[in-house]
Amino acid sequence: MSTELEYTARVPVTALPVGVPKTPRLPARGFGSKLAAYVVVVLISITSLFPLYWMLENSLRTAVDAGATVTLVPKSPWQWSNYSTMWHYLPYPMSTFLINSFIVAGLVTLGTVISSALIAYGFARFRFFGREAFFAVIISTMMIPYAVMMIPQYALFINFFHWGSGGSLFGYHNLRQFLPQIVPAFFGSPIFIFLLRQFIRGIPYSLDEAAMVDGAGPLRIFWTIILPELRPALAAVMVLTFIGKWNDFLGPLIYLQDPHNWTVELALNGFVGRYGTSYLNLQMAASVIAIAPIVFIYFIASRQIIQGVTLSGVKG
Amino acid sequence: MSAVETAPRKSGRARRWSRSREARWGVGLTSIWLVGFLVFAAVPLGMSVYISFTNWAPISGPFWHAHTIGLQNYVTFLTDHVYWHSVFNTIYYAVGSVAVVNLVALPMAMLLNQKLIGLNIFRTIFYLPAILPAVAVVLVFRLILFPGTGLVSWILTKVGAQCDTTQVTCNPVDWLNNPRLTMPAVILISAWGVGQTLLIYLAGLQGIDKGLYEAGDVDGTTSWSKFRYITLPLLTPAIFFNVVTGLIGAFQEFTKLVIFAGGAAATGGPRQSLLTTFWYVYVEGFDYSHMGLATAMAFGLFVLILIFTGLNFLGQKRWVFYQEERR
Repeated sequence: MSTELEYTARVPVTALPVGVPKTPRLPARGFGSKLAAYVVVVLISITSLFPLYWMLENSLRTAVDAGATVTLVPKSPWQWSNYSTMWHYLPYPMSTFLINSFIVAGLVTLGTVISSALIAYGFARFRFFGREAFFAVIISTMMIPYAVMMIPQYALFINFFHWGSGGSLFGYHNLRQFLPQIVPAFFGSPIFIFLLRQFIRGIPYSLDEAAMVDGAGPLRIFWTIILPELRPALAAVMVLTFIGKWNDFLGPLIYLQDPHNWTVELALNGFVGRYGTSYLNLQMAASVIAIAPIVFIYFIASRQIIQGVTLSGVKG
Repeated sequence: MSAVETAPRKSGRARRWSRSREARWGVGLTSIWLVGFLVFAAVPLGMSVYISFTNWAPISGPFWHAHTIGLQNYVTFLTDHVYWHSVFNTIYYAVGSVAVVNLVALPMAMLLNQKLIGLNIFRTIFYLPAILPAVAVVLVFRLILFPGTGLVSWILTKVGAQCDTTQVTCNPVDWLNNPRLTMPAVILISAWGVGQTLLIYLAGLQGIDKGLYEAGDVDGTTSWSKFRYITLPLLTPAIFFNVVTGLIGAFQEFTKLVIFAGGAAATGGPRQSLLTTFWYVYVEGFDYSHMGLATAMAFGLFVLILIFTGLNFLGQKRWVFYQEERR
């Protein structure tokens, strides 16, 4: 398992032999086949983007029209009011669910980044007995399916830690319902430990040594040398973690019982569950709201995301 | 970012901490993970063995107060025909979606591996679907596949598909309600988000030495035999990785199936055609409060995943080609 991962990570594209002249893969590649390639690429791009357009388009239709006819542009007048209707349709306004999603995904991201970076630093820069074996164990735990963890973790959080209800802050009640999803994130994520360890090993050790001469301790070196060099990798980890948690449906479904604590994904489920196939326009408007932050982040950080996924093989 | 190996060298360093201090820090930092693993994974795993022998229902108190009922949970689910139906659905979805995703992603990666202008833009667009929330994605695909009035029905009608005349609207294919079609529909939806698989293939393709193709050119080989005898063998580690990780993920797919069936309240969709074992575990545990039974069923799923992963690792000797790592 880990051999493939290391293989992908250690042979970067840029490290190909320099002496090899760059020739096209197919010798007699004509104008026609190049054109065909472009046509196919554009068609796939349209397929990739069309559902998003369709979501937006249907969110501006009337309740009767949504999903009922095929027109490429909604009939005028466009129903911008769908968004305000949708905003207040569930027991709590959409802003509550958005804030909840930001809280959960934000804290999970914070915890994952800090802990994974520290653990990766420990593996990359300090030699100790059994280090490689221990690392192999961490990687292999990724093979444990969540299916067998789901119920006993629930038992642990509810029965032992009493995280099912209680606690309030800023008008939020049952605040503890958030903890089962947030606290475990502060103990590192195997795939990101792997990714960050690779990156830290790429930072010249002479930088550490120079700091040591100045009398810096391990944590100071981590803070002043490693973290600044690690910024691109940390950005990738942050964005991937945030998106992954924002998109999560099962975790919130199990733990966020109180509608006041729902995340956006659970709110979307609320639209499906309560109103079935009617009000498709509101469903689509809510979907647009749920997707918007992700699309926004993606267009800012797509390079980091793609690099991170390529290096770690993580599910984004 | 250079990925060149610069791990601490064995000798010749200007200065270093004492061995014991180094070991202390190494163990200290890495044990952050160990603490989390013990508390949030090892302990629960042990608990789940116990819970699977009880009739625990969360509403009646903590699990250690529940009655132990021996192997009854295991007998119950192994003799439950719905469980075996869910096993069938699980394998159907996992094998189907992994096959479709890989068959779609590989040609796409090869397309992107050519020297095209605007490659980065296309790659960004191709990857976008993979990071979108599954709930929203499935909702819009429900709309697109909506019987009678959806886009797919509309296209099928335009190209001459027969309408069911007993229905009010023209309804050639009912993806949402026909139990034979729901699973293929979800598999096709999963083929829309192939981005991750695609990127792994792209990295694999870009790692192939171009000199090999030139050698092929000298010998005058066709592009098909170059694919068959150069690209494909060198890509087998990437295929293996994608199949193994894809299967483990697909065996536990939940969100897409649940939302496509119409929300968490719709147990299994039409005629339980979408009820996978993972969903069945969720339903028994969290809807019916049969936590013991659900835990036992989860072990059943674990065994299924182990069998498939084990077969993959056993079978890899036959077809996965590991190149000597070039330095």
